[in-house]
This record gives sequence, structure tokens and C-alpha cells, in this order.
Amino acid sequence: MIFRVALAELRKARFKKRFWVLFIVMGVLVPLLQVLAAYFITRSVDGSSLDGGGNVSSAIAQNAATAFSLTRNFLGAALPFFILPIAAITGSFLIGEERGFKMWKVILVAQPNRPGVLTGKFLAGVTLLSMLILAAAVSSAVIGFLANLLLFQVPLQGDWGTLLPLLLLQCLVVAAPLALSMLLSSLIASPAMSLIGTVLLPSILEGIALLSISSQLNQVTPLNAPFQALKIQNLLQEIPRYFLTRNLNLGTGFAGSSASGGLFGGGGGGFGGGGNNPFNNLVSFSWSEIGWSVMVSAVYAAAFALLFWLAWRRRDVLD
Amino acid sequence: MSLTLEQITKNFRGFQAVEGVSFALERGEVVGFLGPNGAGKTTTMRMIAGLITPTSGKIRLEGKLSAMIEEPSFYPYLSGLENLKYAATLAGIPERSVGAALERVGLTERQHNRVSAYSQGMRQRLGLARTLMTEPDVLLLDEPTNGLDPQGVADMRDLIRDISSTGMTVLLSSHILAEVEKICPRVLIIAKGRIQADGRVRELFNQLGAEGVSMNIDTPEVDKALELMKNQSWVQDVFAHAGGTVVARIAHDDLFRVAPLMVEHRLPLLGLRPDVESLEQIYLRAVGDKTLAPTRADAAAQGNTGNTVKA
Repeated sequence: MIFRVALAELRKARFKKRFWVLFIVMGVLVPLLQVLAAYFITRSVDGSSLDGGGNVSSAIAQNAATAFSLTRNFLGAALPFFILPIAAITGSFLIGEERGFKMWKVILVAQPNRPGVLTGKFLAGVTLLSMLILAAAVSSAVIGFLANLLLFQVPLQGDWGTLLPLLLLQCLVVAAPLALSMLLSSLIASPAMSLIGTVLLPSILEGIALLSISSQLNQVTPLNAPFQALKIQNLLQEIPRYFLTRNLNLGTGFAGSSASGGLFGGGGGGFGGGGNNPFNNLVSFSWSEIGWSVMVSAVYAAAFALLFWLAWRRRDVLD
Repeated sequence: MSLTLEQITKNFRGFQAVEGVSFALERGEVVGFLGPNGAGKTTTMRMIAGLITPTSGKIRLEGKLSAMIEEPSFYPYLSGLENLKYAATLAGIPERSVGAALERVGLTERQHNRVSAYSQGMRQRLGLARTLMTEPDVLLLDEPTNGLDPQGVADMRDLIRDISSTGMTVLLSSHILAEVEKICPRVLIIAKGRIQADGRVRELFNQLGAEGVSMNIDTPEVDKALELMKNQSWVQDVFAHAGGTVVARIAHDDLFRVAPLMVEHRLPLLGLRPDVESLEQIYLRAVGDKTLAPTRADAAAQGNTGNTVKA
């Protein structure tokens, strides 16, 4: 049942223009804009005194216009902006739309396995988002490859062996915002409100939580106890590590991780342009932080999925 | 029994939509489900279809069920074919069933058009194709002729007749009583969330029909005929229509007396026509006084099934 539902949803998604538009924006427009920017910058500095004997223009091309760099930039820099909106759109497609088109009465008619249907939809959502992210990443790589071949011809650098697992883990992490979106689409009748809720609600709630905690702590902090104040400050810096939005994107750097050898840092663990690369620490990461993010996201995904299931357990289909 | 409902009740936050509904459908039966708006027809059908959980009571179903509840819904951005393929994948049936279902309802030529471009009649037929595709044992059809033109209604009626000839059990809800009368040998009448009548149409005529028959007597001697009929002890009621017709209410057993009486009194007789009572009149009689809250006696009698009438 689960796989039948997932298959039916994925087939249906082919006909939904919004997913093609999202792919074009993430996988074509974003890398093309980077290539364009890199092209104009390298043209302007090429042969000038700023170029440092070709080092600067070569570094720009390597970090913004090769297969590896565009994939890395998509994953590390562009995806954070897209991850909540694409999860919201997918959740709306899978759940909210059924209410709008009055399709629940078709999908759930004489259906003894309602949890199976909902799980199938969730599985379809994770697969759809993964396909979207992977397709955009592959498209970025292709555009980067062609751009380098046709425009820059810089030596290729980058450790794909590290980037690919990161990409796959990223596909798992989208389960949390997807479950949130499916939950909100179930609870809120308006598709627009559930979309806005998925995109904005986590940040708003996290902001309010942080603000209220910090204001409470400030009240109890003795002014003459700098050690206590430092401890509380550290605590306040730690709290966001438990937030959903903070852990959604695995490619972005976490506080302090660049110092321990980031993805493109000059340290031993990094890969990229090397010590003289002006783009060092543009995006950084560490495996321990990634493990933490995957774990936190999984907890959020499980909590939202449980609430989603509870919302549907004995729900009457009246639409 | 294909489908059995036992004392089904549904309460929506204090509002009693359905109360103690019980009936049973035998395999291959085609049963009309009648009732005014808000009577509980759709709620009952949704409960049978598993879309609404009953507050209390039991529903027993033997075999596979399929349903078309109210206006059929589709993904408007998909074609008719893709909509059925989606349903086929969900139901786990082979895609070749889709073509056969489309052919059965005469939509093969338009299968690649988006559903948003379909007329109401085409959508109804596509909905029926989707329900038939799974080859169910029990079929629930809620207002399948809604929004159809007369030709569409006739086509739908023929389709339902075809279905019923295959031995499928059908529960058909409709506002068009003439259609129900043509298709369904048995009807259930629901009002205020309770079954008011359940039985074969003929039996309901006997139980709920008015006593006697209205006989139209066509004669040019209207005044004399009216006077003559008034003087007969076996005539229950009589009045004259403008245009040369006397209407006399007569018991079934006394119908044979009319023509000899006219001849005996040398009154010209141009025609004798009985008014045939329709299902609509029976229906109105069954639900007519149910606009008031049901009585305790109604509630106590509700548990009965079979050919019952609660008037």
C-alpha cells in the first residue's frame, strides 16, 4: 500500500508545473547566475594588477564556475534559502491540495489502511524532494562543467567523495520540514496559510523562544558575576543548536567549525583552493556537526510525523 | 448479505446527523436511497465508505466496495486517463483496466483531455468509470445524475442498469425519484437521520399509497355525471375539472362499477383514466411530516429492518 501510494504521487508530480519551475530556479538559474558573475569578474580582473599573476581569476573560476564548485555552492549556499519553501510546496501538493480538489473522498474511500496512505504520501514527499535536490545538484555540476570547458579552462579541484555523502544526507534531513508542512496542511484549511506557516513559523517560534529565555536569564544574572554571565552567554549560543532551522542545512558552516578545518578551509580536512584561496571558509562544515544536525532533524521529523498521524487517526472526511 | 448496517449513529459535536439507521442489502440488489437535503443520506454513505467514523453501531461489508460520493472529484491538471491511472495505481489494479473502464462510459476519445475541460456529464461518467474500474461487489452512488441534462440522465440510467445486471449490489441516492423508480426495485427513505420506509416499491405503494384510486371520467355531461357519482355510497370523494372531466376517488374493489353505472344512466362516456400514483407521492407522504423532531415511538421502532414503514 505504502509503495503504491508513493508511486501514484510521484507519477502525479510529473504533471505539476511548480516542481519543474523549482528545478529550473534551483538547478539552472542559480548556477547560471554564478557563472555569469564569475565570468564578468574574471574578465574585469584578468590581466590587471589585481589578478596577482592569474591567481585571483583562477580562484574565482574554481570557486564559482566548475562542476564541483557549483554543486558545492548549491548545497552549501543556495539550498538553505530553498529548503523550507520546497518542503512547504511539496507538503501542500501532497496534503493541502487533496482538500482543495476534494480528493480525500476518492483516496480514502473504503480504505482500511489509512496510516499506510499517509506514510506513502510522506515517502513520496521525501523522494520527490530528494529527486529535486539531486537533480538541481546534477544540473549545477553539468552547467559548471560546461562553463569551465567553454569559458574558463581552470584545473579541476574538489573532493567529490566528501560532497556526495553530504548530498545524500541532505536528502534525509528534508523529512523534518516536509513532516511539518504535511502537518500544517492537515490542520490549516488555507493552502496559502499553511505554506506561509511552514516557511515562517519555525523561525518565529525559535526567535520567540530564544528571546524569552535570554530575557529570563538576564533577569537572574547577578551583575557582579562575570563568570556566570559568560556561562549564560555560552548557553544562549548553544540553544540554537537544538532548533529546526539551524539544522536543516548540512552544508552551511556552524559556529567555530571553520577553525577546525572546514570544507574549503586551509586545514588538512578541507578541499578546495588551498591556502591562498580567497574563498576559504565561504562554506564550512564538520562531520560531527553534520551528525548532530541529522539527529536533531530526525527528532523533529518524528515529532511532526507523530502529530500528523494523530491529526488523521479518527478524522472524518467531510470535504 | 452484501452490506449490513446495525443501529448506525453519527453525532457531529452535538448535532445528531444519523440516528439508529439499520438496513441490509442482499447481493445483487439495486436499492434507491431517498431523502430530503440534510436527511443523512450522504453521511450514511460516507460512513459505509469508511470516510466518516460512526459514533456507534456496526457496518458489515462483504467484498470490495467502491463509491462515488456527491460530485466526483478529480485532479483538474491531469487528463481523464491520468486520473484513472492514479486511482488504478492506488488500488493496485493493472492499468489495462483503465482503458476498459473508459470505453465502458464512452470516454475513450476524450481520455487525453484535461479533466478541467470536461463537461459535468463527462465528469460524472469518468467518476463512474473510476468506481467501476476496481470491479467492486458493492457500489455506492450518491446523486450520480446531479447536473446532467435529460440525455445525460438517460445515459447514466442505462449505465446503472448495465451495472445492476452484472450482479453488483448498488445503493443509489438520487433526488430524481422517477429515475429511482425506473432503476431500483427497492427503496430506503430517510428523513431527520432515521429510516422512515424500507421496502419494495410496490409494497410501499400498498403501505404508503392513498386509499383508493383517482378515476378520471371524461364525459360531455359533467353536471349529471357529478351528481350521479355524489349519490353513490362507494365513491369516497368527487369533483369536476373544467374541460369535461369528473374525478372520483374510488376504492380499488369498486373500480369496475363506474362504466356500467354511466351506461345504465345513458350518460356518454368518452374515457376512463386512473391516476397512477408515483414514487414521488409515496416519498412525500413518507417524509412529509418528518420536518418535526422524531418522537420516542419513532426511535423505539427504528431498530426494525426489512420491509418496514414508519409513517
